[in-house]
Amino acid sequence: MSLCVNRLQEERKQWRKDHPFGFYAKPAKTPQGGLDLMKWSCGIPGKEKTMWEGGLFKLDMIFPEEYPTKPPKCKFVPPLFHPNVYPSGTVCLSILNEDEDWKPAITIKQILLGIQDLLDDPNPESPAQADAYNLFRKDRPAYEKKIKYIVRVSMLPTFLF
Amino acid sequence: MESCPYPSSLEEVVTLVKRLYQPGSPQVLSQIQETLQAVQRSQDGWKLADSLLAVDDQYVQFFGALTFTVKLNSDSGSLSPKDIPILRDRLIDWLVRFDSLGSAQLVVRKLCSTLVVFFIRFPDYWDDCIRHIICSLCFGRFVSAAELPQLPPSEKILRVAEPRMKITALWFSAVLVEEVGKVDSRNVKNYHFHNRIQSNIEEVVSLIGDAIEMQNPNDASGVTSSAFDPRLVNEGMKTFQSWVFHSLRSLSDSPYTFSELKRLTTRVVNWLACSDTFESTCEVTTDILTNYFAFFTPADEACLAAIITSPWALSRYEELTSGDGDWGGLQFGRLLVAFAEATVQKLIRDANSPHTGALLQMLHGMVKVPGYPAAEEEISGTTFEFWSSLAEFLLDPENVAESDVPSLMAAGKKEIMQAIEEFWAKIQIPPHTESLKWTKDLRDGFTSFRKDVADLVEVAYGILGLELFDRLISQVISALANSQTGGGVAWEQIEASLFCLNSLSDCLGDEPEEDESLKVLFRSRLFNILADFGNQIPLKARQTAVHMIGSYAVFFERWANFLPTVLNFLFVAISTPALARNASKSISSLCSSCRSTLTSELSVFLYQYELFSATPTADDIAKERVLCAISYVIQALPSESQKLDSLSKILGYVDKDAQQFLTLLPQHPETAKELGVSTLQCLVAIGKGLQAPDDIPVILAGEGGGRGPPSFWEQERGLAIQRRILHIIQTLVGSLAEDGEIVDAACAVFRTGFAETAPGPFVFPPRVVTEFLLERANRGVRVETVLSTASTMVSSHSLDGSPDISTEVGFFLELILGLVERLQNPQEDPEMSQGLVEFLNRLFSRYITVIVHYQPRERIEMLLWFVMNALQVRETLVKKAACTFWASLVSFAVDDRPELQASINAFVNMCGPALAEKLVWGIGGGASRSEVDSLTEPLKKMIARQVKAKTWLSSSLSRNGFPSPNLSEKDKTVFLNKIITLRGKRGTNQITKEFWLSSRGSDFAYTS
Repeated sequence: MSLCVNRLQEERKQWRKDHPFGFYAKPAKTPQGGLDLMKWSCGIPGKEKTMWEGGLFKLDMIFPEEYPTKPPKCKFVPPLFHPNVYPSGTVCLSILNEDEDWKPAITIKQILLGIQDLLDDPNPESPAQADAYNLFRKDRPAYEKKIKYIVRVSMLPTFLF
Repeated sequence: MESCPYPSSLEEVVTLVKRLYQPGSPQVLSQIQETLQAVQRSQDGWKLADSLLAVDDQYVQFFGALTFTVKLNSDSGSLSPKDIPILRDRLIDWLVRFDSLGSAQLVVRKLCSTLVVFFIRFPDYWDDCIRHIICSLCFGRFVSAAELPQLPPSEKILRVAEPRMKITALWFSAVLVEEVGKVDSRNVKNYHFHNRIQSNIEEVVSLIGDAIEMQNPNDASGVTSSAFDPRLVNEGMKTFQSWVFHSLRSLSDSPYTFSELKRLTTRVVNWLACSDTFESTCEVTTDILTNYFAFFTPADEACLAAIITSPWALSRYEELTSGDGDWGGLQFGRLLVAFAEATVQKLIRDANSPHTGALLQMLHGMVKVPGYPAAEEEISGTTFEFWSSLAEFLLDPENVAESDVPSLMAAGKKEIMQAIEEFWAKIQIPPHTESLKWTKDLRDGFTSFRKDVADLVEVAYGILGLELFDRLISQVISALANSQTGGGVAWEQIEASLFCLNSLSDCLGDEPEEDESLKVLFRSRLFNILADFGNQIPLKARQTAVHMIGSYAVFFERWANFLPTVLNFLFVAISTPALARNASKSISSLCSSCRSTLTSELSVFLYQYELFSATPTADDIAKERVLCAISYVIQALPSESQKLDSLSKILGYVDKDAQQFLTLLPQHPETAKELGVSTLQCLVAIGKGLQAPDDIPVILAGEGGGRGPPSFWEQERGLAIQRRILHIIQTLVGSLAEDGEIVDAACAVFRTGFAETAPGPFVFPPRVVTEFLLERANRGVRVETVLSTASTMVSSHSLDGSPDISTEVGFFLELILGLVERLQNPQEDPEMSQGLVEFLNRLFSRYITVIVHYQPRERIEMLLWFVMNALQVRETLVKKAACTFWASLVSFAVDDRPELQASINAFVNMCGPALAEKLVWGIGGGASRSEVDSLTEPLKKMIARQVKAKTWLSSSLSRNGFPSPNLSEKDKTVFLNKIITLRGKRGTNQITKEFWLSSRGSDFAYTS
């Protein structure tokens, strides 16, 4: 078995054993009903006590053959309004960049937690889309209102037990 | 504050140390600590440490050992090669003395770790560290290194030694391997530690082996021999665990696997059944099962299987499931799961054997533990790992003979189905009175458990298929049937089934056999009851039902006759605030998928929306979604005039909101603004709903891109609709005096029409959009939004067959030239600069002539210099936009229009030398590393397309010290030659990255 597949199976095992609340991460299905380990569907909840709280944002994680030497590509579906998310939905984050802080030891859990942190703490040094970046820079109140709206649209079903 | 003078004698130091470990004010203590640290680091530190160890006080002795550690870490360089072995022997001597005196654990342990620090500092001075320690401790005196070979084997020495001595040796061995593990083995400098550790393996195996040797191995459950010391066994287990853990790490880090440790596994597992040693044994066994099952031999596996299903284990299991967790029951549960998971293949192969049957029984029993998961019990959730592994193994049974697969599957299916049914019972929602008592953590835990069950159900479908559907649906049907015979409806059961079905919606193929089962569900009375008696049914059950309907939109696409009942329920549900958003989402999903079959229901939908939107609690997002949903259906109407009638009605609802906005505005401007934004978002929703779906073939307008005769929406009644929409937009924008958010929302309304290839109510004439946008820009509000909206409009009018909007582009160019004149420098307003460069970038595919033919030409030159300077703006998005611009310009080619090409060439020749210089500046370290790829694009295009590229580049590179003083003339020449030779091919990126690195002066270089 290749290093990549091996590692992904281990990641899946570890995830099942222990994952942070409100997150999900699982391999996508192949058209034949099997599992495609190279592409995972994930969900990132907004962090508590931030304006992102209550939202759930879907993200695809696409692993290259060279994983874990190279990082996976993380892409919000649909693309997310955020200064560090490219118009295509791809996340711009140093730990996801091979030339920057990516290390093969970084786990899927750490990536997802890292992206969750990024939501409320955008990095103005590496903007990836103009719309969110400009509003963030020029009209913070409008930016925050827009985020709150996005959060409400993506809102998880409330606890109704 | 009391000062703490530097001590002048040993006695004074001792007094200070004693005070340090007595209660006192934090300030005083921290001052004492500071003084003592200074003493420790002083030249006399070595001597002092030794003297402190001789003082008869455990804290002073501890401090003495600590002082040795501090000196070893901070001052080991001061030791001469002669001193090093002397220090080692002195430390061993102290350890033996304290051990034989039965000194405090605190001191003995600290000395062990001091010795380990010595080893890490001077590994070459201590070959047989573990043997050295064992021999010294067991003989009760310091044994010299030279003596070691003459002494009997450690195994023999240990046999007659006191447990105390062995425990100390175990501590040392555990700390040794733990600390060495912390040293980075990938660093070549540290590699020899691991060699040294490896050479000690036989000794440690003897040591642990002796500690966990069972006096009477035939009696696993009641070891009561007089020689039995549970402390020794437990320390033996802990040390074993540390060494196994180290060996696991080494698997990936070094070639060693420490297979010698495997000799101990049988002895380890035998201690499970002894209550005094259960916890430490269970921990290490579970660890190995989970992380490195291959560590166990087949004999160990058989032995474990026997222990796990022995009467001893059965009574542990009884305690576990009866809720008696005091004795470490959860740990036992984890052991069961870990064993079952590690042996899953074998387990399911002999599902009928008594051992395996008993184990499976226990695993099922753990799921059935009474109580709400997470809130009242933690046991059931620990079994997910096993069931998921079992399911995944069955999905893809590796290493199984073809002929064995059917029996294997039959056995596996039975277990999985049983587990699903057990979990189905566990996820049932609590009565409200119960969950009210739960804290947020408990509720989160319960929700999380349900999600884990949903995941398991999804995996289980791959094995159980239709059977799983049938089972879940028949549970719903029988819960309903019970109510008919007089009982109440068990909504928590129905909810649990719908919840599971929800997780299966993505599993179905195109024409699934499951449809027949689903028909049974949707034909039942369930959704009528949900709609008619909603207020008597738990909210959660209704919420799950709402969600489930939306997930099965594709089913309703195939079986539209079931739609009216479920849609009726959904429309009833939107009026319940807690369900509104979910219900509107499901409505939108159904209306999108089944739009053409729902056209006859439009009047009902409009009526329902009217009722809903009139309620004061109507949720804004739900309103947008339902309007979007209705618009999907309108879009499917066959004629434009039919569309117009329904559209007119929903615009009436939007009008109402706009009117209310006007009423609110004078007194409550903030509330009015919120409503205003929401009103425009409703228009966006309608516009999106009316867009042609992706699967409809695109009918292009006439050839040549000319403007044809006015469409339905550009005349009479159609035009009136467009004007009505425009009027709403203008009223809102005008009344709020050009508020930024309102302008953003208004632009979003126009955008919904841009993507359309056929005329429609939201497809406004470009002239109208342009007028609106220019007016906003002239007032200075959200110029970036205006520019990006204009950019999208240009792109959608650059497609073949779309109308030509050169005139409008000309207006925008005029706007941009005005902005450039005002800004002068792109750094002045990076966001606006980026927006305008992006707009220019869109012109290349169809409207470049608008720039080329512009008069006076000087203004265009000014624009080009502006975009040139944008290459040096700090903000990366501006730089990247400018790179795209220059890449497009230098590679622009139109063979059939020489005159246009000539004009472009004139621009390029004018800008070439400056462009070369800016690119060299950026690639030469001026830009950030992540921008180098973007800057390389125009560079590659320039080299590939412009004959003068080499001249331009070489002239900028010839400047002394440019782009960086770190580059020699030769570096620059080599760089230039390489990129010119590559002629714009991909390899250029690697070269420019290296050039950037050398310019920045990093000695780190890529090897190419």
